[in-house]
Amino acid sequence: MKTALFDIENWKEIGATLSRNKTRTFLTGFGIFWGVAMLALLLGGAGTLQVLLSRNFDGFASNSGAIITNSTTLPYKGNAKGRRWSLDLTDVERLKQSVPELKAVVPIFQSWGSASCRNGRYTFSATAQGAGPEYAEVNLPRLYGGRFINAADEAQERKVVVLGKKVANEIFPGDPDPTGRKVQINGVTYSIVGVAGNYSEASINGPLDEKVVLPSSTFRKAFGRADKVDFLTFVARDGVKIKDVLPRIRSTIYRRHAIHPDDESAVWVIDVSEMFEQIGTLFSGVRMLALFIGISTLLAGIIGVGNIMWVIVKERTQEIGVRRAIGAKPRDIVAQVLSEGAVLTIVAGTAGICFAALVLGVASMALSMEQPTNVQMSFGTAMSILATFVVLGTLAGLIPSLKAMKIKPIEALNDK
Amino acid sequence: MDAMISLRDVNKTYPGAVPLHVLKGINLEIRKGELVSIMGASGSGKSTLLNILGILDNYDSGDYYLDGTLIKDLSENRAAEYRNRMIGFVFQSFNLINYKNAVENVALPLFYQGMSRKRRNALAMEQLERMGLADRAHHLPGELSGGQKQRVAIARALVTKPSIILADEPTGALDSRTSADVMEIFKALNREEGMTTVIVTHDPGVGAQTDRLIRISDGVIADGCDTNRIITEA
Repeated sequence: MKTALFDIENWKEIGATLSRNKTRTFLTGFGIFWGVAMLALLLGGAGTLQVLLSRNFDGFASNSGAIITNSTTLPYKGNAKGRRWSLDLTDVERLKQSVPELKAVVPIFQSWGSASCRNGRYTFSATAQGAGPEYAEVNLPRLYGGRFINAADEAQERKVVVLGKKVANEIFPGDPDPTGRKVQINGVTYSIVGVAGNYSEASINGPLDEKVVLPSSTFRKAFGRADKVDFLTFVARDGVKIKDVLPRIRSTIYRRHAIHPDDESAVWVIDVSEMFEQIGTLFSGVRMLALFIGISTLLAGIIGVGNIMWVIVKERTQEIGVRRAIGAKPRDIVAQVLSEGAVLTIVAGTAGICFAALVLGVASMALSMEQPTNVQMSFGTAMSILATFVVLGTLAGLIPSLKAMKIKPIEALNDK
Repeated sequence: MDAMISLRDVNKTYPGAVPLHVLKGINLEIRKGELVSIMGASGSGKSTLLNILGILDNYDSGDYYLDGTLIKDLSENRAAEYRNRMIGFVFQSFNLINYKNAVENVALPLFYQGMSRKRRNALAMEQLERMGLADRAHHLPGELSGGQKQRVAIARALVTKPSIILADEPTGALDSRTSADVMEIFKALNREEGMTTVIVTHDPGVGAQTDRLIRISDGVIADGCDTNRIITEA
């Protein structure tokens, strides 16, 4: 066996056998090539699609959520239905106390399109947002320059601002980072401490690029908000599921604002973790589908190999008889047939992997024109696909090779 | 002289709806260095006998000794080893592998001995030179004449230096002139090297050139008067 493996004669023989019927070998090889390529492309593509979709949530804490108020739909404790109500800073404190599983509870103050920003002759009407440093726990700002609001800004009610990237571009044209410069917002001068945007398309109440962010203490004064907040965001501690703490979040808020316990519509809860889970589930399904289609294609290729090896054995019955007559042992015949199947599978399978890598590479380049995107399958996945194919391809040749092994020399020599 | 082949009451029956008793109590002895031919009509059992002698087929009862070794109930691997090292086969239709050139065909039995490519090709070339085919060594069988193919087949049979050559109708596919050439090779091998050779043939002319002619008819060696059922005509 060892001798045969390293004997060039053996390899020449395999090459000669496979090249004798080029069309048949090509078609069988193409079946394997296509099976491997499809499986690799489907798995690589599904993984990339998941990355692309997940990118929409980049910067978002996956274990986070948001609470937005709505009118009540049920009467309760003397309050008629349809009552409008607001969250306030006391809710923030209550939630922190009654739901210790929450790592952060972040109030957001917002004033839509009411921040008239000016830098000399350049103006822009932006949405003003008041947020503390803990905002980054929920939605990590993408900093283009400077920094985000910090605790000192918040505590000292500093007149500082983080400009959204689009706002900065509009009123500071030609200056990619106006950090350190001044800007007027509704006639009040603020120092710019940073320029920020979002990492992804997803955002809380509008993209950060089009906002100006003030410390929440500064915002409340500037926009006369007292302690009413527009909405709350929160992040659960590691290992805590949002859906497990949601009933306590609701009951804490409902009790305080006299909302009927069954009035689900009074609070709109966005559970980001649920979205992540849904994406995960969706892509598990996509991957399973890809795997199913890929494996079906793979099996078709493998059956092709088995079939071709069967035909080869049938065609070479007399040759096998001659070989047996001059001293080939049964295992020599098995090794010969198996190695032919294995070589065909390895060559065509490797070509399939290379083709898939090429297609994924081209897709990667095309998608990267907009944003760097790595469309690929891992080396491990590629090798696993190839190894599976080689093992199955070799096994597919096993039945024909065992048939070849059982051919009696005398029967084979008499085969016409 | 020692016996190269010794058959004692060998029987062979092919099973079927009507079992076919092909060899009926064959007793036969072929001595080392003999050139023997076996003749008989179609269906007489001569090819079955040759296949049993070549360990290509099993027999049902009796004993077969090849160079003193009892050939019975051998495993497939042992049978392959015996065929490889002790027997050289020459077939009517040459049975060369058509995608291997002459030297590769001749070297093939040595491949199954695990011999290095260089060594086996050197030995194969020696045999081809001996057959006068050195200049055709790298030609494929399709590029050779019938006589050349048979000489390549004889070279392949000789390359392992076997104890015995078994030839099944070696001249059956050749014209008379080429047949004569092939028979000269067998006779020379026998004369010069004392190679034990058994030739199955239809051709009385071939039989006449051997030391001894064994006639087989209806599964028995037709003896007429010999109690060992062996007729020696030549």
